[in-house]
Amino acid sequence: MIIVWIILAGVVILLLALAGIYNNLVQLKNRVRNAWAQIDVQLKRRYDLIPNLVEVAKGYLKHEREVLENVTHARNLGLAAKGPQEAANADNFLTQTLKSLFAVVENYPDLKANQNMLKLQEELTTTENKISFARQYYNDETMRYNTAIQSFPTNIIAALFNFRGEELFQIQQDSERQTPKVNF
Amino acid sequence: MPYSFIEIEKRKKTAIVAIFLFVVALYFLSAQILWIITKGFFILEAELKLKTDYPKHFILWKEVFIVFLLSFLAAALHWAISIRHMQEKILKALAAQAPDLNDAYHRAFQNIIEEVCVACGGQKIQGYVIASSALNAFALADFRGNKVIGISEGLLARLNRSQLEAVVGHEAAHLIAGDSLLKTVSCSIFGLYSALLEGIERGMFYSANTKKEKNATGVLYLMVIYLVLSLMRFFNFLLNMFLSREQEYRADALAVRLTRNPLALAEALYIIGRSWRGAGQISDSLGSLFIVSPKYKILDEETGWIAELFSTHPPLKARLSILISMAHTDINILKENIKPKLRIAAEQGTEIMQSIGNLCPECKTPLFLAEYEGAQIEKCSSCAGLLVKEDVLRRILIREDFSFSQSIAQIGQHLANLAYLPKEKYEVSFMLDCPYCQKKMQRKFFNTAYLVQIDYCPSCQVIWFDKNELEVIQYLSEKYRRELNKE
Repeated sequence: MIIVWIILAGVVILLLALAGIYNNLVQLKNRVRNAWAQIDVQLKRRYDLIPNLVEVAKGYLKHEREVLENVTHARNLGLAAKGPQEAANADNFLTQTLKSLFAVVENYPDLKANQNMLKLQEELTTTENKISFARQYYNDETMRYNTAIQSFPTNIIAALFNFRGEELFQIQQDSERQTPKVNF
Repeated sequence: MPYSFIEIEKRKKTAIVAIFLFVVALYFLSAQILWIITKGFFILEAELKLKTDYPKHFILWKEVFIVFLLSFLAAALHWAISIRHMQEKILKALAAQAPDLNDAYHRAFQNIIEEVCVACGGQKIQGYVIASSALNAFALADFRGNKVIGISEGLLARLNRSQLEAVVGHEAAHLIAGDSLLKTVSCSIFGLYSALLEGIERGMFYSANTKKEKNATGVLYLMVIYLVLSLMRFFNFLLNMFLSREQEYRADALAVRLTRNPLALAEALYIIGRSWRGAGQISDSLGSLFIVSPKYKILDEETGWIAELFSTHPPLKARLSILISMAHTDINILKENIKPKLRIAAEQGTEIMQSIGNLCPECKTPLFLAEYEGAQIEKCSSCAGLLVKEDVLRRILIREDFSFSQSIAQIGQHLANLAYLPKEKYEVSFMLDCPYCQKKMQRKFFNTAYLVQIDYCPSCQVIWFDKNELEVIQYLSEKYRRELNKE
């Protein structure tokens, strides 16, 4: 009789532990999703700013059509991107085109001192920083989730209920790694 | 990973309960002592009169119980009153205001707060600005989960974007770790009252000094206030035992984890440490809320258990050396890298925008909105006069974006060398009409140290500067600030 009770207690404890681990995994996964949603919001905000920027710069940069077209092109690529990897690449491309745009702007003192341009520049700086912070947060949470999925004994339950690892939001170029944030 | 940024830690609850019990104990002890003194006094008197025997049970348990009950009630009342709207009360005591979104510096600060919110996983934090040239920053939290990060105008003007981000990151780290709630509670229990009393005391001394006859009641009031004040200050000092200085190290570490920039935080701490942090303006009893104590205290710079117990901030040197080693650099390289901001000429920096319908008091042509050192002012395009609101002017005088031309420097130097003028020169005259209310503006000197004549409307609180006048005042205020900081 006692043995039956012990086995029963063991089964109950096991089930409870299982439920605990499962719930924990669900929580971690939802955090990753929430973190991704944050990146998405910031990326969208940045894409929304680009047309204004092009509009302001167009009047001054009559001979630099190409640079502006590149920026617009990069924005369109970003809007069409799906999944962390594609989005990361598109975002990276946009960052580079913006960099070359601002390098050109340096040669136009009138545009540089333009009130609207200054405001847009501040907005872009803050959005860019927000993206990098959101990315950092997403990667932290994803790392936490992936570690949970891969470690014992959670990995058994993860495999059982089909929890799959998430992609990190990574940047491909080595040169990009050294300039994390925009500062003035 | 020590912290998850989603859950605000509730671990500090035990510490808050401990603070409450501490308040109860303080009340109980003081009440008991008072009771014994009164009892002793009366019994002594009775004994002298009646020559009866000394009572055997000097401390009765029934009495102790009643005293405890009463003091518990008093402590609970004190607690409840102090906790109510504590955030608003402290913000008011610090004269902190929500950022003005027409101001470029304030906009950038708001953006930085939003950035740090994103880094914390989407927290909601409210920004506030103290209109002071001191360099400091603070964080507040309350039981409802409202979070506030405040920063002084001086800090906004002196630090660059990444340094500001590091400071805001440090304050956000306090909020995430739950330190801020503990600090806010501990400050509102005694510190806030002591800060308010300090203000009253200052006012009373001032009025006592200006009045010719010194009356006895005034002195009595002062004595009572002084007694209560020193008691509050002492209790606050004891309460600081609950605030560990480890919290600052931890917040530094967490800030680095948030912003990934230990160098910027080290630079910010270095700059703050070498400047005026608000001693005299920010009450010392609220000091534990700030990134660096407003007042320089020897206790803060010491190690050992006494400093550990009673000091709220660790030695700045120790904090710096940890951050510097995180950034793989050393203090000399850090010092070299801190450069003053690039300045531009005032004409280059003010661009005219649209008009809001006010007319220039001199030329009666429309005034245009303009950005002057990041602040919004109105400018006349024909006579180059400037119309500035008083609170905006305070910001402009703190900021150092513009360089001064040779002529401005010469005028400023000349005015600085002037001795005090004869009394009749200080008389107020009325010349121009206020562009807002059309009443006459007072023409007077800016103050006795800056002998520049301005036109001031006391009801609209705006000042009209003729061409170059504001720049001369800026030159003078910067000159005095330099001289003060050198000492």
